Amino acid sequence: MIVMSWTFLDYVDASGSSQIATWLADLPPSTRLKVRSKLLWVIVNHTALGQPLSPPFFEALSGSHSGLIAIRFQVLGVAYRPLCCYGPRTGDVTLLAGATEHNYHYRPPGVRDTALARRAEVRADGKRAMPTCLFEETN
Amino acid sequence: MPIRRDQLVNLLKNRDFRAQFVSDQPNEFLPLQIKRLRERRGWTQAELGQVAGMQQERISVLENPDNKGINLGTLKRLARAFDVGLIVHFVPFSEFVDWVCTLSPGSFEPASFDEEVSSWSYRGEQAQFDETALIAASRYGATANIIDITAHKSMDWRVTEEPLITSAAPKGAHYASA
Repeated sequence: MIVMSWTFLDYVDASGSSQIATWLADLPPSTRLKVRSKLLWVIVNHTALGQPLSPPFFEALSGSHSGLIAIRFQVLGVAYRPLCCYGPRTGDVTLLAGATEHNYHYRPPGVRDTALARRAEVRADGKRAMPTCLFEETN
Repeated sequence: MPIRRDQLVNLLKNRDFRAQFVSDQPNEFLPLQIKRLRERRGWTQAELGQVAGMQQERISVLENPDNKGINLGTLKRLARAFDVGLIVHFVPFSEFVDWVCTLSPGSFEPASFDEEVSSWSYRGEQAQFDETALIAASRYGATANIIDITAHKSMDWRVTEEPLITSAAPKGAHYASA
């Protein structure tokens, strides 16, 4: 798959709320700022590069969670693994859920199943993916 | 979709955020650039290590965005191995924003000196040709096409930025450069 540029989107729930925004808002302010910066660089660089999302910046999940892609970065010693997927349109990447990984276990528990369900929603209804909140003003 | 300048500027109005964003730039950009430069040359990590005088494991760490930073000495060695230029300097945020918003696939894979040299000599010949065409055209009071000249000006000192000819071309005169 070769695309000229990626467009990063957020999964939004039925009320139109970005679930990545909700996850970020729950992080401590100093951590939130660092996580947001890291995520933005991933988006900036890979939007420009336009190559398939590949290691070590991304990891395609396999098995029962195939179709999900984890964005990999560390902040303050914590391994962050926000989950995303390709789509709903060609050239889109939708951020589905915030997550961390510890000893090969994703947190919060069940986050990969949640992300998979959200992916199905996004694929069924493209309106469940909106421009990412990450470029909105910081607070 | 390119990154929107106004959105980025709004984000950078938060002083803590912009400090973090600047701090993260080398850690996020350079590993990706090192990987792309290596792959462009068809090198394995071990092969790059050999050229740069480093262990493969070190190259693996350098290509990982979670590494704790790359020192200047390592950057110089990699610049030599890839035969590319290296610029490390402070810039105003206007320049920083421009850089972020104009990133393209080519930003990650700068050409080596040798790759550029062939391009330079070609452009030099073109520029010389263009200049000759302009001089010839001026003798006949013609208008020459200077579009390509301006494209070359950053590459060749012989090219002037000012249009050489301003008068109208006589009917049937064709002195346009390639």
